[in-house]
Amino acid sequence: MRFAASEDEIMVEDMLDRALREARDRAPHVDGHAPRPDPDVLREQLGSLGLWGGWLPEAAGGADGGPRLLMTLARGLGRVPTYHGLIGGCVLPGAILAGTARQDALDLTARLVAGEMPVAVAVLEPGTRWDFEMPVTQAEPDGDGYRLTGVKSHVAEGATAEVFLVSARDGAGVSLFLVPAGSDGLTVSPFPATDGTTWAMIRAEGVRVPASSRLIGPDDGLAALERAFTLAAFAAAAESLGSCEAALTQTLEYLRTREQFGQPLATKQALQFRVADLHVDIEMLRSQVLGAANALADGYSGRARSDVAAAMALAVQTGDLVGREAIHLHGAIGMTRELGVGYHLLRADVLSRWLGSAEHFRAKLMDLEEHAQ
Amino acid sequence: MNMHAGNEVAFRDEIADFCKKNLDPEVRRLSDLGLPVGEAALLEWQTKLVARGWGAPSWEEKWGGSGWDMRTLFIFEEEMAAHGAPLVGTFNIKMIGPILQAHGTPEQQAHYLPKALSFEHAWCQGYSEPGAGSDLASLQTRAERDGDDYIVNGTKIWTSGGHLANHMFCLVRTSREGRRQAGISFLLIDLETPGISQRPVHHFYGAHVFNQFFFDNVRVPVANRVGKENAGWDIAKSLLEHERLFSARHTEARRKLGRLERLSKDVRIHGRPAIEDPQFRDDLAKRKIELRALENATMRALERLVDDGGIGPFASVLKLRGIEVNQRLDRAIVQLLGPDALPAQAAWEDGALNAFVPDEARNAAESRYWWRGPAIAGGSQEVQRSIITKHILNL
Repeated sequence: MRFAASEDEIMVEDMLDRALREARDRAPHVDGHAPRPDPDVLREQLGSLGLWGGWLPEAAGGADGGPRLLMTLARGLGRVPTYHGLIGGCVLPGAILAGTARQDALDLTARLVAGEMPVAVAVLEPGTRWDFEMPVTQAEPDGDGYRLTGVKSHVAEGATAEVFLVSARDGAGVSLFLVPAGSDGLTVSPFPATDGTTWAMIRAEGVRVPASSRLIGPDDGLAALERAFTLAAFAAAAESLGSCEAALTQTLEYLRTREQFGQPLATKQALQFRVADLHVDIEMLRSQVLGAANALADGYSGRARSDVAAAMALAVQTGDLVGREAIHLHGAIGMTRELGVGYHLLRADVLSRWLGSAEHFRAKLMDLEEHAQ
Repeated sequence: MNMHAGNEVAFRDEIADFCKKNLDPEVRRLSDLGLPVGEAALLEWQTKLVARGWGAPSWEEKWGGSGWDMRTLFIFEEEMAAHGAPLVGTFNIKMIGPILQAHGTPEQQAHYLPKALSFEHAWCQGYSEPGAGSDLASLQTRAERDGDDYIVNGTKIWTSGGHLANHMFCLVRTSREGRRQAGISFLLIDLETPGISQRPVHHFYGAHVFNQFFFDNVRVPVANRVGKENAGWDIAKSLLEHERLFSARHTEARRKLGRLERLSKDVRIHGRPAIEDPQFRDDLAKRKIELRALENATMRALERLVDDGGIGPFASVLKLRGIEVNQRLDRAIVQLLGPDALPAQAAWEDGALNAFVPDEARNAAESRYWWRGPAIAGGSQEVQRSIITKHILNL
């Protein structure tokens, strides 16, 4: 498998860049803040271009683009500050739904591919960080269905979802249930995260669902979650790569034009060496994201999973560093929402808080390699 | 033979098999520990390689080369390093051989290439001077014409392995006009020539790698000049493109990681193998991840080399990070060993440490010290950063 972008990938990159640029140019300036594209319009446009869910298999309505297309998409989105919702609204639910052969799941997937966000995945629980292996949320048999009780925290795209994919303990295993947002006993509490995106807390108090709502599980529920979160981490690493590229490009442009002490900042060796080091870090992240994409394209193996863990560990570390440096190298203007370069630090933080810290992914890599032996 | 996806595995197996059958286990052990294996062992290994047709793979076939493409050459060197083969005669095989094939006269080629291949000649490199390090173009050793000879006066320093060599390829100043780079010539010097003296320059921890050479009215035939007069700078710069991939030093790092992983099962922290210690595990994971990214970056560069014929300033990215990765691995090994990294090289020579200290501790501290050097040599890390700033980031 090659590293360099194929002709198709370059075409996709161009389409994506054009769509994002146009969306940004159309976006209103509010209170002098840096403009953000309207996410609904953007998703619809990317859906109609076949880009949004193109990474999904054809059987699920996608274009069989696989991890390479997902990487291109997520990286492109990372380059332009926007509340795109790709990972929470498309990658996580898409990976889970496409793994089933059920018609209702495929109907939902078709809507994902078009750029809608009808499904949110509710897996994290209070006080357990990223350990989703042992949910406290319980599914108890109740007549010809189940009764769900528990709290799910930090549900991405949960504020607007029509239906939730809720993980719950089901006998000795873990199952995933499709639960409509309007169900009796289900409380959805939206909240904003630090990067401006909207999330939700969910409380289920004896929510009754029919037997058919159990989409996956109890034996294969965890494996499905593991697979979906691996793909989410991969997309997040690719998004971070795009984010780092954009932050560095913007910073370099500023160094070339901003003058202090009678000279452009770009002439200062102390600053040159800082950006040179950032470039090296970004090249390493790019290399590992490409390596992970190629490994995943060869199949969902232990090696592919550890390559994704390595990519995300680097992405968290590099995203944080580049985000901080981009602010600092801009000086005071870097602190402002008016300029907006700080978005990259906000986003790097949110991706890491949500999907796992660098330490988390390093521990995962070690475990995966030991089990491979 | 050239590589296609299908026969790459077979080729790697063939190299592994050759190493298993021909490499003395003691030599492999020493080279895995990053130690010199000795002149006799190097000669023996090179003789076996030459017999197999692998003595100088990057050379033209008529001089004993293989005719392989760049991808095959890369795989060969990577696999050789992975199986503990010592690095042989870098100056002979990778420097002077290719330079003579590209720029030498037919007489120079016929005289020097066979002897470089067989190691009858051992070459060293005379570039740096006390006043010319990273700023190599400021070199002052001068060569003045006197009939059919040059008279060479001056000094060369940081000459790695000069005390084991009998020939030096050398940059000398033949003109003081125009650009500094335009007044430099490339000379081949027999180190037996009268007027040459040499002294060791010991590394701060005691090893003898470097030397200084003094040239006092040394007569070198004009016939020993490679290329035209004052054209030496470009000749010295024309390192083979595929060698630039190895500026990542990823094969050495891979061997260090192997050493660290073996130690992590033997060394105990709080009574348990180190590999079970959370802090050590996190540190090991960092080392593994940065090496994996570096290897992927090297494969990207190889792909670019095959596509475009060159990797340009990306070599600086590889060098900068490759050296850091190696240095961090060395530090991790020493930190894991703790007091076992205390004995000096000499302590291993009389067997006093056997059964007390793991063999893997040998040369751990010295390797860390030696690896301060590559960050200074061949364009310091700061020179690489300047190249990235200027040629990639366009600042």
